[in-house]
Order: sequence, then structure tokens, then C-alpha cells
Amino acid sequence: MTKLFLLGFLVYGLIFASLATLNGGLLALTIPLLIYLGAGFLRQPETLRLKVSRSLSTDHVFPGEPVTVKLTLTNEGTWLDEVLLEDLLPNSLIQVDGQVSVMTSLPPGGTVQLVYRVQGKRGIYHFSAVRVTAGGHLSLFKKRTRLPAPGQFLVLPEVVRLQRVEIRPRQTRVYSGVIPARQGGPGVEFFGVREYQPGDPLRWINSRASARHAQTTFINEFEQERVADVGLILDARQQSDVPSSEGSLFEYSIQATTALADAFLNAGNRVGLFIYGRALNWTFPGYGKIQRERILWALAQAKPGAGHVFEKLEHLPTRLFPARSQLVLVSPLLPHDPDELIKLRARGYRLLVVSPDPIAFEQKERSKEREIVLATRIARLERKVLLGKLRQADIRVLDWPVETPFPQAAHAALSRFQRL
Amino acid sequence: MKNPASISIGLATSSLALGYALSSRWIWAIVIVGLGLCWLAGQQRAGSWLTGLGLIACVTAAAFGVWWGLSTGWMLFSTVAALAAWDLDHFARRIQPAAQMEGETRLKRAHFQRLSIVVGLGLLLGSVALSLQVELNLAGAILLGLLVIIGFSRVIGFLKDRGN
Repeated sequence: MTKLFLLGFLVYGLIFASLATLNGGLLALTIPLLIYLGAGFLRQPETLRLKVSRSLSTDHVFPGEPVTVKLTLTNEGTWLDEVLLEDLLPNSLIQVDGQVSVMTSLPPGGTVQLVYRVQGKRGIYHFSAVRVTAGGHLSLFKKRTRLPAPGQFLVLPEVVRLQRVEIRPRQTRVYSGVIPARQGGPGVEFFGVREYQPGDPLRWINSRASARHAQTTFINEFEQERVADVGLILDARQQSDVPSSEGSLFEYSIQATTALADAFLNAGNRVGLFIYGRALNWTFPGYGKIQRERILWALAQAKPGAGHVFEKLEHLPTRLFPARSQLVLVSPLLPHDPDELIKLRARGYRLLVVSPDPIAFEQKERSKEREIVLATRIARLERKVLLGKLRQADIRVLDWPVETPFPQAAHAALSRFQRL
Repeated sequence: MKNPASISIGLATSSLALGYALSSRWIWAIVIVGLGLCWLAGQQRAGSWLTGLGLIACVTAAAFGVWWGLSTGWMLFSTVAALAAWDLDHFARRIQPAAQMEGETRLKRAHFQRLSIVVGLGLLLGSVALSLQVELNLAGAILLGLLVIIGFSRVIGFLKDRGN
């Protein structure tokens, strides 16, 4: 439009000048400009009839793996002299190779293809549309349109492997697993001694105990090992997140949740995931690889959010979790959280709290001024009191300084069950 | 694409300067050469506004040259060359955002062909118009003026429509 305006301005300027000065030579100067304008008018682009399709090499990847995007634009209308096709990339997606825009001329029925590869951090990426700019003869007139070309893919969170996470819920399921079930029967660990009953294996007979009683035979009992229900709760409340220039603390919570979900599922447990943030996001409990995939998909899309209702943990829908099961909360913890967690413990749930340390995380960003150091010390003391409260209520706590790799921190604190 | 545009800028300003120099208007010729050099220097760095300004300057200088009775041939040639420079610069800027060009040679060749036809036709018809002598009386001038005003209002209406 600027080109048109400029040419129009010059043409009219020259015509007015020629009329004002009665000089025909000035009129002659307008002729090349008029011919240029005329050529543009005659061959302006007609209504764009374009079809665009997008294909992605996969619908989910792990961080660092690229996704190949293919865009095909087909001209179903008349000849287009100049076509600029630009794909609109979702924010924070990094283009690895290939090109996201192409310029060409398109005959009727002609196609042009864009191929490029992108990669991104954990999250869901939506492609919505492409921008097409078609110029006519000399591009004096242009038509610009956005064509819908939807597509999406997920970058799943990275799974770090944990060796073993020891849990002791008060109730287990019927299937055999690795969690001590507080019931005698076949197993590995010694549980107790009971009177022999027909059908018991003879190799379980406790000869010492039997020798002390003339008429009775005793056998050893072992603690049964079963699978359990594990409810993972990810704290996605905005106020518990600590953003920084290098990322946010929430990403560490995601990393811990992913690792724990993987470890519990590998041990054969039934695992559900609850994301507590702006809204309630519940992944129904399940077993095995499919459940692992479901949880990873849910975690890939998780982001911190603020919701007035969910500012405190009091609205945690505990009915979703089987009674006396194991709950694992991954949260940096807020000052009022212990009260709600103690209530949960009182209802019979076994609780494990994995808490990425927000103070150490934030401290990296802060200067070493005296006031900051003092404030950090106060915050540390407050956190110590907060964690102490939880431990006093028989809640296991893993205070995780995020500079330590999670498997290392988890191995030290969670590989053996310690009654606190 | 910058080279043809630079050549066109050189042709536009040098023909203009030559036209002025042939009539011993040396100062104006030097000013025009200076402006041409500025246009060339700023072409790489400045935005499309500079090339628009260059076209306006060339056409205005050509119009003044015609009014002062300088050689109209040079003035017309200068206008046509400035128009070509302006178009080529815009073309270069259009293809710049595209990371990839499909059929680049074909696209460029097609544009050069279209521009060559337009420029050639403009030069030819302009030269014919310069050789023609039409007596324009007052009524004719008024009629022409009216046509210009009507055309102008139509153009404004058209621009408004496109804007909407």
C-alpha cells in the first residue's frame, strides 16, 4: 500500500505541477509511473485459494530430540507470481535445521513444501496457522492471509532412574510386589512364628521353637510383599513456584515427580497423579507402561497456575486416594501446608514429602549483601521448623537441595525405610 | 539483487546530473551526485523509506529540470531508472525475509522480465509523448483538471476500501 501511495503521490504531483506551469514535459514524466501502476492494477492477485497441510514426525518426544515438521502448500486458484509462506512457530521452540519460510511462484495446482526440525523444553506445543503473502505483478498489491494448519506435539519430561524408593503404606493391594504388607505368609523377611497347619511347607518349620514344646510344631512366617496404591501429588500452585533466570523450581518438582512415578510403576505399584494448581488435574491410578505414558503426558502439560480456591492444600480431594494408601507430595511447601499434611496423616495415609529447597534455589540469584544473608538465615530457620513439624507427625521428608542430582538425594533418603 | 538496484541508482543520478551539467548548472549536478552517493550508501543499511525518498528526490529533480528547460530525454531516463531502482530495492527486501527460495532464478528472471517490459514501455511512450505537441486551451486544461480531481477521489476511495 505504501508503494501505491508513493506512486500515486508522484503521479498527482507531476500532473498538478504540469497544469500549474502548463508544461507538457512534466506530464511525460508521469507516463512510466502510470504504466507501472497500470501493470500492477491489471495483475493484482485474485482471491487466494490455497490448501495447507502439516505433518509432524511424532506426537511426543523427550527433551533434546528433534521433531520434523512438514508443511505443504497447494495452490488451487490462479497463478500466483510471488508467494511467501511463513510458518508461525510456537514460542520457546528452537529451530534446529531447515527453513520456516519460503518464497516462490505457484502455478495453478502447484505445491511448495517446507521441511524443518525443531526441539524444545518440556511442554506442549501447538501449531496453529501459517501466514501466506501473495503479491501480484510487481507486487504493487498484496494479499495476506493466515491459513489454519493445526498440529501439536509434546516434549515429555526427562525420566531419571531411581534405584529404589522404600515405602510402607498401611494398606497394600492383593497382588504380590515388593512392599512389605504387614501380613505373614510367603516372603523374604522374617515376620513371626505360628503353629504349624496342614499344608504349610516343611522347610518353614522352626525347629528351635518346636523343640521347646512337645506337642506343637511351629513354623516361621515371612512378611508378604505386595503392590500398593501410590498417589503422587504435584504442587503446581503459582505461589509455591520460584522462577529464576535459569528456569523455575517447578521444573525440579516435575523431575522428581517423573522419577518417582517411574520408580513406583517399575516396582509394580498402582500409581495415580494429581496436579494441584490452577485447576485439579487427575490421572486415574493404573499399572505399567501405559500408566507411565499417561503420567508423562500429564506432566508434560503441567504448568504452575494461580487459583484462589487452591491456595491451600485444604481442598485436596482425598477421596480420590484409597484409604491408608501411600501419598507422595512433591512441593517446595508453603508455611500453612504442614497443618493440612498432618490432617492427612491423621486420616491414616502414609505421607512422603519431597521438597525441592526453594531457599537454596533462590539464593543462587541473590547477592551476598548482609541483609540478604540475614534474610536467608531466617528463611532457613523457618523451613527447618516447618520440616521438623512434618517429621514430628511421622511424615517422611526429603529436603532436596536442587543442585544435588535427584537420584543421589533420593538414594540417600528414600532407599531405606526409616521410621522417624 | 542489490547490484541491479545500485546500477539503476547510478544510472538515475548520473543521467540527472548529466542533464543538469549539460546546462552548466554545476552546483545542482554536484548536489545530485551527492544525493545519489547517499542513496547508494544508505541502501544497505536504511529501510525502504530511503529508496522511496530517493525516488521522490529523482522525480522532483527531473520535474525541476523539465521546468527549467533542461534536456527532457535525460530527465525521463532518470525517472525511469529511479523507478527501476526503487522497484528492485523493494524486490530485494521482499525476498529477504524468506529463509528459503524455491525456483529463485525463475522468480528473479520473471520479475526482471516484467520490470523490463514496464520500464521499456515507459521509456518508449514517454519519448513519444515528448516528441508530440498538443495544444491545450483553457477548456482542455479545466477538463484535464476535473479528470485529475475525479481520479484522485476515486483513488482515495479505493485506498479506503482496501484499508477496511
